[in-house]
Amino acid sequence: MRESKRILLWCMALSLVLFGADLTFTATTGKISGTVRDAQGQPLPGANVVVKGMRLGATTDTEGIYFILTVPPGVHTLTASLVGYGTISQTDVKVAVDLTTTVDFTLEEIALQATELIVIAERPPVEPDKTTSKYIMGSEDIESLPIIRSVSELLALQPGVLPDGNDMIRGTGAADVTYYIDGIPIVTTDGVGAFDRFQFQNTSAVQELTILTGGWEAEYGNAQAGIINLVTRDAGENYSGQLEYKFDPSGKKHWGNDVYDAPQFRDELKWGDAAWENETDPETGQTIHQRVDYTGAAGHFIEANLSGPLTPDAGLFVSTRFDRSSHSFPSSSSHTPGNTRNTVKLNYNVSDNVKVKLGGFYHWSKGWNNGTSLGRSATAGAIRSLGDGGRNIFLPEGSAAGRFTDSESLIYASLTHTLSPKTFYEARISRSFSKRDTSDIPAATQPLRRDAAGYFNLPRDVRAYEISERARYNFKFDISSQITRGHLVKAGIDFTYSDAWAFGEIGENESRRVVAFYSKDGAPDGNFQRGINPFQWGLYLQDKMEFSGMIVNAGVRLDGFHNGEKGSAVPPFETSPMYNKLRYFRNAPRVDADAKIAFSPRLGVSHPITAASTIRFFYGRFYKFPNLWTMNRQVWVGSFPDIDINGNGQIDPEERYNDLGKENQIGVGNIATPPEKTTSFEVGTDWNVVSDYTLSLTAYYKTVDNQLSTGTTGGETTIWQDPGTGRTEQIRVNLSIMYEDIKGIELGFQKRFSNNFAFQTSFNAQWLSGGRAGGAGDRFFPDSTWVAAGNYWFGYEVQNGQEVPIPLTQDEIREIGSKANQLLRDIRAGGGPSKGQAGPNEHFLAAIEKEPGIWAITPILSELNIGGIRGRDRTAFGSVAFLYRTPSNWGPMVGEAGLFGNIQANMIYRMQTGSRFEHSLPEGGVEERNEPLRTWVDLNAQKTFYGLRDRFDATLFVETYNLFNQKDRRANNFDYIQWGLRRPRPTDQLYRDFGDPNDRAFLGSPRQVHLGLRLRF
Amino acid sequence: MIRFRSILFSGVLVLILGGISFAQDFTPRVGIAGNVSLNMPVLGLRTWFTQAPQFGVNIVYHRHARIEVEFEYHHARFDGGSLEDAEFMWAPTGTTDLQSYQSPNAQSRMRFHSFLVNGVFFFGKQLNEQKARPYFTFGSGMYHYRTTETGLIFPGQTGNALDSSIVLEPDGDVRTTVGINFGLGVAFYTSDRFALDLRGRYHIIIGQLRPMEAWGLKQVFPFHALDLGIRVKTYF
Repeated sequence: MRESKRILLWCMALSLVLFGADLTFTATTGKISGTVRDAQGQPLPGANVVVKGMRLGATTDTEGIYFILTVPPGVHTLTASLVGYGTISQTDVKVAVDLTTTVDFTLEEIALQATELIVIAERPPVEPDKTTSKYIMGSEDIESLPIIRSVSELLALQPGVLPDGNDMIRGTGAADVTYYIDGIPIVTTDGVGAFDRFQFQNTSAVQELTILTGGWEAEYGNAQAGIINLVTRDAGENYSGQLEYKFDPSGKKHWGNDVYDAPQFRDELKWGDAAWENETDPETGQTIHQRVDYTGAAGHFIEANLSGPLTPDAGLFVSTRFDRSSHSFPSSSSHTPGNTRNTVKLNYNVSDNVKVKLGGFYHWSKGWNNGTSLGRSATAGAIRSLGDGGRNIFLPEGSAAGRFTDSESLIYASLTHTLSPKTFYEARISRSFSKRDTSDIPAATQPLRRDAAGYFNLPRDVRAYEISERARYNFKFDISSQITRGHLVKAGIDFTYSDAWAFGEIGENESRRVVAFYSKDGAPDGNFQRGINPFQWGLYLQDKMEFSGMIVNAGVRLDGFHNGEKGSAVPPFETSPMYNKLRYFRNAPRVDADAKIAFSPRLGVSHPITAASTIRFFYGRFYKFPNLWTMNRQVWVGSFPDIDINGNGQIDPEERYNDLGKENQIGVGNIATPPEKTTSFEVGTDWNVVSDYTLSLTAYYKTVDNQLSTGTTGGETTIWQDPGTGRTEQIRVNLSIMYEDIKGIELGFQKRFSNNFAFQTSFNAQWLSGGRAGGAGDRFFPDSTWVAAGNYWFGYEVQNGQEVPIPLTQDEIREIGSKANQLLRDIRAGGGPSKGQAGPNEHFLAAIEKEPGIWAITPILSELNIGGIRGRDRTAFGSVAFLYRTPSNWGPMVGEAGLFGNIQANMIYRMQTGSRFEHSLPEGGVEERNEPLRTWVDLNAQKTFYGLRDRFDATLFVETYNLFNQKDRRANNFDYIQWGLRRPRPTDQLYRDFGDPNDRAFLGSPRQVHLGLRLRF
Repeated sequence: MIRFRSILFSGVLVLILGGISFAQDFTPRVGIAGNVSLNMPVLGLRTWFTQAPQFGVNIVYHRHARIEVEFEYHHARFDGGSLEDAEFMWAPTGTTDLQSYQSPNAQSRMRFHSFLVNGVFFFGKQLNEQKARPYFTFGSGMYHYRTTETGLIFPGQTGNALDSSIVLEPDGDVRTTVGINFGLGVAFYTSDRFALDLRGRYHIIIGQLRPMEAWGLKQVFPFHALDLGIRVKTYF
């Protein structure tokens, strides 16, 4: 045993040397510290302090000070004892991830204290060691918001988070958030956003949820907007469980008329016209115009969990959820197809110093393809819906575009080993896997069919689908050491290896199809299902310095990303005559993507002004790496028939899609894409105003650079200046040329539960400016040396079943080389920069170093759209969550409880102002205006009954969404600003005849009432 | 300006709360009150409406010697909004000869129904030791408002002459939302059970009025209003 321990320590020491620092990683535990004194205030050395039921404890030093590391988040009982003195326990000690909870004890001599003394710990009104904007929700906070059933809705109540549930934090979107589950990062560099994987966690499985909105310590990487850290529940000492069922009654769940009587169709709906009502589909013989009772289906929701010990040292927690929601509009089926979300966690205390956890989640859902793929649409005739302007409402059940199945899983194992009371390490290994599979995909998209009147669509085959597999393997090793009383040093490393491919196809009509994919080597053999293998790593070192009157969190971080795949250094190559078909482009020169390295310093300082107030400051730099879709995506377009090049009478796998050519509507990947960068400053204060009321106020500023110009579509134009044809060919590429400056004030005001009520308020006022720091139009030129080296040709010929380039003659080489050089001379003569003097778009400079003879030139500054719109967005958003609970003995006593006791009301109010848009003034000119405000209120009311000596409880609840039936609508047009109109003009004859065609276009849905029952033991 | 108000408000709150000490011999009591106020729109809201009366009733819970909690309902109404007299510019089709017009039948009004919970924090000595007790009040709650605009000639019409029969459909803004209020006042205790209370309060309400820029009225967000009023309290 000693030998193995020694080997382990040597391995650790080796790791430290290799990575140049002590190591650690994402925290899932907190720390307790304090002093133990006697009644006279003298420190008591040698006193034992233990966390009840947790095999955690410490002994006080000569100054009576103790600290306990690796304490799981939650509420604990702490016991202090010393020979000759009594024992004292403090209950309700709350511990949060990454924070220090201070618990002091005063022990009485044993002659004065006969029995164990139990006191309730007073929670600190503010967290003195919070050095940045951090909001923590424990399981008890989550239970007090029963109407919230998704992690995103929980987060949306926190200051700085937009309340619409999309995880927009301080003006930056969810794609720039990094999520952690039990310390495992949800990897996104393979192109799958983490939002869905994270937000689909069951809320009853959450032990603690932490969100960092302004800055985060060095242990967190690859994020720009925020860090969201979820710790799932451990099994408790006792068996416990919960079953919740919610019923969503049938009824209309949208604004406006029933879809089958909607004014949007004007006189196209001919109910009462026998010929129209009895018209049949000539292909299927089915009656076309039939109403679907889409409002008649009720919805059901079930979530359950079970927890308890398996052995004295091991426990298991499992949670599952099933959702069978009814649709608000006509759909492919009456309910959401099959789906399930499951979480499991097994914790095992191997010894007092070694703990092992195994856990993970599995989500599965299936659905119908709806005729969209790659951001494009061929929805007409694909699936019953409001798609194609509502013309799909008479389609049959199911989908003519086939089905899909999504699965997401994470499995992990973690080891926590306490080496000494001052030092512990954690090692985690995990595998996560995302898969989309499809079935029943038709061979091609058929021509559009419509009814006799030529208005409503009839079903047709639509080929539009996406498939992908993404596996990530993550290893993390962390070590924390309380080196001295004032220094808690943490350091760590993590490493992620991925194996990922993705493919999408859409036949926009019967003759045009688009494919987009990333896969190994560009799939030269036609096999798109071979993964690219990128890896990323991170190292950090941080020190939490806790001094009297000041806490400092200082750290540095180094991140790296290696694409693992070659790509074209010259994106518009695929528009050149040599490579302008997918089958040619596979032979284009490919270079290794450069490793991307990012260094990030972080500094946070907290100064407790009084016991009830602190002031804090944070500065940090953050990077987010581009994903594979951004870097390696290829997009091609063409007609359906593939070409049998080798003439063997069939389309071989490597001949699939071989005639597809360039596509200029969807941007292609760019291996030179740099990481996006954010620099953030904030100063804030937390103030316990009085009693349980706490105010948090933060002013922040962040500047974000190198932001991608678009998402997966669009992009900026790059140009191939072809010397042979003299033509200018264009293709779109994602470029990192956008910037934003965001400043704002973030306010939180809350009251903990006491005197039967609690509330939590958040409000943000935010100003955003942004624009482009560079322009489109990077041009690529070959010179004569490149042409002479045999890199240029016009066409191909088939030899032995293979296409080979037709080389240029010497005369052609001379002529084209001369043209190429002349083009360059013209550019220089015109005042354009020469190689190495390109403008701000320097992304390609490093890449073309690998392509001798190719020149990249960015338009000179005067041609660029430099600058941006000042005050582009002014946003105010916030929420209020209010909870009231009656005492258990309220009203006439029925048994041991009052008739009106244990009744709870939970109301949540949310607001956000509308987006900014440009308004053209009648007198000329353009000014910025705001879309309308949106507010909405949800209410939960419930009554709990206790039985079996309070070991069992049953709760009946009623949930009302949009309590006040608030009817808000987006409006960003001239009519709204000039005349306040949110419907058509009164002079609009069609409106006068048929009504508002957009009568459904209000946000959210009308008031909905759900009923439910929750059982717990 | 907003920052200044926040600092001022925070400072006042600290001073008041710092001075609170609860009398040990005070017996909580309940009362009712009625109030009449002059409600004055401020900032953007003032461009739409002018001052108007406000009426309210309260249940008062005098919890500590220096703290009272009020459960307040009040109703406020603004009639004759500026939209009724506002002019818009219109020109016959094909000309640039813009002229101003009014809508003779225009009506513009606004109604508030508010349910608030207010804390009243008294300065100075204990109850019964002085007749006039100044105080600071802070409250929050739900504000329901509804605006109605009718009879507005549609300025977007085309033709050779303005057709006054083409009017915008009756429309308005409706919302149940939250807001805060804070203010200062003095309560005059004429007996143990009766008090007269003079109060000035400032309301900030998360509400919005849509723009009607053709009539010179911009979007308003949030609402600011000041009320000066008197309330009569009776304790049981």
